[in-house]
Amino acid sequence: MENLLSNASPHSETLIEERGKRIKIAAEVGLARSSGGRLWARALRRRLHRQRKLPQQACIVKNSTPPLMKEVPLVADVAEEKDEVEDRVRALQRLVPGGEEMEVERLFEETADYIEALREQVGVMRALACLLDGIESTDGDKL
Amino acid sequence: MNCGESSEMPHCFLNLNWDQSIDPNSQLDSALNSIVSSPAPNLISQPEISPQSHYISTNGTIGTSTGSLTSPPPELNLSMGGGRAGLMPMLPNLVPMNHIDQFQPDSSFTQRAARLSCFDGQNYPGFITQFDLTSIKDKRPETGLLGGGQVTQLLDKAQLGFNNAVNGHDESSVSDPVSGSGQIGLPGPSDIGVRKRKASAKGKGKETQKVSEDKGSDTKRCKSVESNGTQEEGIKPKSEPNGSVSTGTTEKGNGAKSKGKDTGTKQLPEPPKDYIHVRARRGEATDSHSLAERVRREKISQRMKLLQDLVPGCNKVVGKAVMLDEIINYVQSLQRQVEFLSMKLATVNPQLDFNNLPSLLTKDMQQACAPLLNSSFPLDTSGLALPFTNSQQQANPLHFVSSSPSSVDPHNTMHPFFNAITDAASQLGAFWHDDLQNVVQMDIRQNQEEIPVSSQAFNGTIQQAHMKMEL
Repeated sequence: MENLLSNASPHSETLIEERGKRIKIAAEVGLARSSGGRLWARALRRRLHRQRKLPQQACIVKNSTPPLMKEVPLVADVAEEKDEVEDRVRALQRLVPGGEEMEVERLFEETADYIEALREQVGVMRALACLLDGIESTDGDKL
Repeated sequence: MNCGESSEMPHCFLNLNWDQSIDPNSQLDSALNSIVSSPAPNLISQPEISPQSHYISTNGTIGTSTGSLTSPPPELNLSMGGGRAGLMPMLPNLVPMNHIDQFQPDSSFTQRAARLSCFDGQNYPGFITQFDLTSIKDKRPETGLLGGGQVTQLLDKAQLGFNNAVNGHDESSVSDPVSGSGQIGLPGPSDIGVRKRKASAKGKGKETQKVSEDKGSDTKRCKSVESNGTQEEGIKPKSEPNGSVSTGTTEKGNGAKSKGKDTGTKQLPEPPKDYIHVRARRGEATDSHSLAERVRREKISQRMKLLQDLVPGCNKVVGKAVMLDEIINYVQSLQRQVEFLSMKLATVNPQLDFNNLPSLLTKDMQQACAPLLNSSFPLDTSGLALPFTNSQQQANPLHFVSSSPSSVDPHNTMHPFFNAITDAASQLGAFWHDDLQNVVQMDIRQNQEEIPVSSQAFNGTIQQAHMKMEL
């Protein structure tokens, strides 16, 4: 998406990116607040709080998605299987905010809750985008 | 008799030949009838016929709840003679399971199901009066979406949440009927292993809380239920000959009985654990470490099942690693969606005339977004991205006004908008604080205004104010 935007107009790209990032931050804030009791929400809030203090650096760090998993061997015997599972668990830990400090059980719980919250977040944002699209189209007439 | 035939009970395992040695017991029937009619939550206080009544009453309660089980109970009465008390447990266990899909996946159901399994012919002193469903409750509502095959999961969770000791009952018996492959092909000899467990459990008649982690074959589970029944019989009268077991399902009971007694001692490590009592499975190490490890593994697998329900398309996958893969992909895709949508929102024309925005929003929202909202919003609970608190809302809108000078020129027109939004925000703040769900279903107009306002309201930073204004 950002690539598309950048190709379109280098000048406006930054602006849109910036705005996009801010929107995303706002979305994440909302997300974090929506499930206050959850570990991942608290971790997310902490992360966002840190980002607020150092917006640029934090944005960069946040947006980067490091490779989650290393190469998985095709042939898996018992030991390898365990490693595979461990790899994935670690990858999941990285995905879910605050997952690094959790043990596996907790991690799964938090993951489930996080997935739910993300789903709803996506729904809200979609509706909002649709709404704004509608408004834009009607606005064109008025403006 | 075939209680379970017909479409009503796809999972009915009732291939059982109940009619074999079940002598119609008038007393039993009357008791059963009375029980069926009275959905008593606590089934323990029944007298000698309690076992059957438990099941029947459970059946009855479930039947009343679903409304579709009314026919089976009478059938059960027919087949349930006094002597075959042991077999009774099977039916009720099985019958309601067919309707699990229709059930409200609520805790009460799990309680009932748990009670079914925890049925001990002799005594239910430790009957589960309360399920510790906390571990289950925090499971998502997905548990409610369990299909028949997933009832096991539900029950497993229930089992894990057990606090009270179940008299010598193997929890797996609960999950047995539930595991719902729907066939209770009572295989004869294969049950023996399972039955042994049950038998030992029964034999003890102890109040031990069991974390049933046995995810053995479903058929085995079913059998175990049977064996439980038979075991109970054996326990109660103690003199019941094995031969008295009904032919159909009871043949296993015979084996089970003998085996149960033999293996009962073997399987009764019953370490005096502090909180969760775990029964060592046959052939497994019984030291405390491995038991704790087993409990932990069970918990983890439960959670994984929960995740499986959440993530679409995970049901076909078998294996931890692949499933975790799917989960990771799903989380990543959701996160990317959020990013994408935020970018998309960023591209919305920032030149909207915010003076007219509220009116625009009203009109457009009602037209375009109402249906959209209804369809796309998983209006679950607090899924809103817009949680608000009163105090914050009222304080922060003022920030916008003060921070507006730093904004771009076109946004000077925002001031009136700010005022409007402030009003809306303060209005909504109180409202939303109370009931987020209603909020989501509310006017989009309010949503529209709230999203930029609230999300920034609480942060109160200039950055976010900029964002809002740009929007």
